[in-house]
Amino acid sequence: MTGEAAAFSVEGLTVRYGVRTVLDGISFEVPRGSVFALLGRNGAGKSSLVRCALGLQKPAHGAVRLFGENAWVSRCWAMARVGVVPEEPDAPSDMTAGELLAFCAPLYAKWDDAAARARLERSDVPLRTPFGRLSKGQKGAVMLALALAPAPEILVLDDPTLGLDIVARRALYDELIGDLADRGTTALVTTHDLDGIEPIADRVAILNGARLVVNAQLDELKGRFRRIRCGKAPGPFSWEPFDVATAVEKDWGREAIVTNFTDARLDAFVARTGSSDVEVGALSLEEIFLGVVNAPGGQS
Amino acid sequence: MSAVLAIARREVRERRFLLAAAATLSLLAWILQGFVTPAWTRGLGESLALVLFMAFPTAVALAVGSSLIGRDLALGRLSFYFSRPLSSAALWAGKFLGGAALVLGTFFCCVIPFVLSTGGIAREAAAGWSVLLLGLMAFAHVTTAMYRSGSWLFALDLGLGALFVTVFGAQLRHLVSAGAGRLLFEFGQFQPFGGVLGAAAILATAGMLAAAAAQLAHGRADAHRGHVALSTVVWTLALAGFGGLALWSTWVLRVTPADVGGVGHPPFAAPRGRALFFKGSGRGRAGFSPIFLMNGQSGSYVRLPPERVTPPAFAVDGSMAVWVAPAATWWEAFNPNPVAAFGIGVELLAVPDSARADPWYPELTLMVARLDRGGPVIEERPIELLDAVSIALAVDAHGEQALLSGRSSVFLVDAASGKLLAGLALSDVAAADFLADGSVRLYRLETRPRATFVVLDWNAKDGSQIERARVPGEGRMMLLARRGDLAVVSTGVREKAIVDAASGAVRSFDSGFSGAALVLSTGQVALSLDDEVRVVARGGETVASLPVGSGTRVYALCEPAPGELAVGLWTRSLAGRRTIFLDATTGVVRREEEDLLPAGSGHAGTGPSPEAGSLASRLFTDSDGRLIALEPDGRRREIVTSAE
Repeated sequence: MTGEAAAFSVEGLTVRYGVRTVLDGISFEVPRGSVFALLGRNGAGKSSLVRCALGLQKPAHGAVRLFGENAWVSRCWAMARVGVVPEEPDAPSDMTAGELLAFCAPLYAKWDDAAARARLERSDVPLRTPFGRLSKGQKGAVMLALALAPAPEILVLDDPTLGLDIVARRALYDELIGDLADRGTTALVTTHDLDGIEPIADRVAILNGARLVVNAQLDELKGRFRRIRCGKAPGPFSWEPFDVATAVEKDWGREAIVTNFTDARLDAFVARTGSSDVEVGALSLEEIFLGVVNAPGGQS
Repeated sequence: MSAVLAIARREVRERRFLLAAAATLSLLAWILQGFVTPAWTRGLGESLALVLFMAFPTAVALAVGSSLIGRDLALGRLSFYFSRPLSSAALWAGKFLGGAALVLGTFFCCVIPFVLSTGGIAREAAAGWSVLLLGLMAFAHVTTAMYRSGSWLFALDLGLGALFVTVFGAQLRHLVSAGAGRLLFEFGQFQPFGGVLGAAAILATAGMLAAAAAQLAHGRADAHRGHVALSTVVWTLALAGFGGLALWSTWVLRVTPADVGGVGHPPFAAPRGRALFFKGSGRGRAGFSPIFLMNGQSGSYVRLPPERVTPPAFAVDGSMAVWVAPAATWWEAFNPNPVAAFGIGVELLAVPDSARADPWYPELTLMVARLDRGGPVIEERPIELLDAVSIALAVDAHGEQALLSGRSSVFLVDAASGKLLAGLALSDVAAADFLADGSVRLYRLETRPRATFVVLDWNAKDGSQIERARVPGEGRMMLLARRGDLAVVSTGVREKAIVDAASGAVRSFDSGFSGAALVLSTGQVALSLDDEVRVVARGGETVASLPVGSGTRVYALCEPAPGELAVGLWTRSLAGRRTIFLDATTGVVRREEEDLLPAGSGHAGTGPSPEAGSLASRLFTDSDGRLIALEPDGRRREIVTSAE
């Protein structure tokens, strides 16, 4: 196998469904040991990217590489080192959790059956109930247990909290955090649960309009994206030198979300506008996401 | 391998209720057959066993095939497998191994009560049925995978499927109408699925399984992409299969006399001229031999479908032959060669009277072959359904009228138009000759109320009938030979009689089992008796005799030159095949030809004895079945290798 600097890389990935282009030349890398949050609105192409990453779907152009190898070509080899929690639990509905563990165990070189059973026990998943009769949260717990049992080097979670109540969501993230902390697993997570992923994500990418519009470390992102408020001043006004994602004018003054905040730019802005009541605030990941997707052209 | 078995086990486990149902119903059928009173339950049990055997495994094959992959794909569950370190090949193998185990398992359960009620099932039939069930499973997978993809390609698949069925059916019909219908079922040793259809079923099953493998390898969890791969493989293989079948059919049907090697049955040779009908040995091409109508001198020939040839009648000068051809039907493909002239007696060709009222019953055709124009030229004349089992008995000297015989009537038909000219209600007419005055001489072998041989002249113009001779017999009578007014008939196990239709005189002779006889061109008659071949004058006086050793039998007699009698002799061991040529008036042996026997004639006694020196009188076969003409200078000329 080739060098494995990045556990997971996407190279010029283009996915089309008929004439509709869902992903248009996407490229990025996921460093080893990082938790990579892939965000986007519904239909942005997150699940298509995940399917390509798992070798389930052949892209129109480009490739996803797992451990340096084309995921479509080397799917079988790569899947031995990858754990997957799909958007919709896809295990056969007639098999019990115990049977699923027994079915999957021989397929992997490493399989921690005890840990998987302990994880299911913590999630109150009965081992003898058919998968189709489990609750949504229990199904998610089973899929996570199956994904983590072979001690994967990459964990792919495609909107794992979809449809889960807050307790199940918390339980899933707790399991995830614990496992990631223990093993340093690389994780690719697509989700709409931005509050949930924010504490554990190292890096964030945002898909919008078939393109990757953000790809940065979360800390860096939070440093760049800021809310700036200032009072109204007579005469013409602009937010230069900031790049503005969204801007509003209110009774008390003006507010903008900027995407290239630095202290130097703030000093330049204050000096240029002469404003004395400039207020700078941090943004949550959700606010950053909204700022990005609502920005003119949807890009930052 | 463990992954394959794990998947297979899962498939079986998911549908284990099918096995349980099959076992339960089989047990019920078995109990009903043997352990429960009253007696009517036995019939119920046998019926249940039959229905179970015929229907249950079929339904299981269709149900399993349609759900093996298609259901997982439709429910989005196939990604579960592809998200594991499982190869497409392992998934395919596991899925279909599990499916096959289910199908064959239910078949095994269902076949047990059927075997108990019928006494057994042939191993070949069980194997063939198993292949058919696996084919149904694969077919169900292919069709449901196409349908469940939800793609517009399914409409294209339906169109291509209809087109394929049409052209495949047309190709099979082409084989059947050319007389090679039996190859659909009998090609090869492995019957009943050893024929073309059996091979096609096996190849189609393999092809559909290969298509499923391509679907998983190229489509994985992508239904549309999988559909494209599946359809591409299916229709590519279908096209290749059809092309192969078409090429193979063309090769088989273009069989030449040289391919068949030798004759498989006594040929029908014209009493004058050079024409002969013969059917090759089973070698042929893929075991197929048509009937060849050949000019024995030039070697030119035409191929005739065996199912469309019944015993022909020749014009006196050999310039024309007619026969009645039933239309080839699909039924004949299932019951090969039911009306062939070679090897089956006409009496076996019974067709119920209801066939007359059946609009689907094929019309008969009068086939007219012109033999005086170099290569044979064949014309067809539609004729009314006179009698479903009619055969041609005679053609008049001008080739204008043909006499046909049915089971209960004889018919005079216009050879040019096929129109019925006259009919006479008369059964058991075995042979006929047109006489110089336009009337017809009929030779009857009556069986009821007792065996009797009758010679009768019928004038179709005025309807008059004149009985010329009547000879009572014992048991089965046979017309052995005839020429002019003389006829030789076997009247029982140990007696032959020479019948003179002109005078009504009958001369009887004690006879051995052998039934060879010949009316010579000199008006004398050669008869095989117990331990000799005797030549007698019209009045019965002995002219010459050839002793035949014990253990030796007379196979056939012929007159290769005027006044020369050829006696074909053979032994039970077939080691002593030879023909002795002698002077018919003195009995002096002229020469002996080893390994040759007179080819005889498919006509036996129903056709007139060939003219002395004609090709028919010089036809022989050797121990390899090769057809050989013995030229007047003694040279042997192989007929089939001279074919053009």
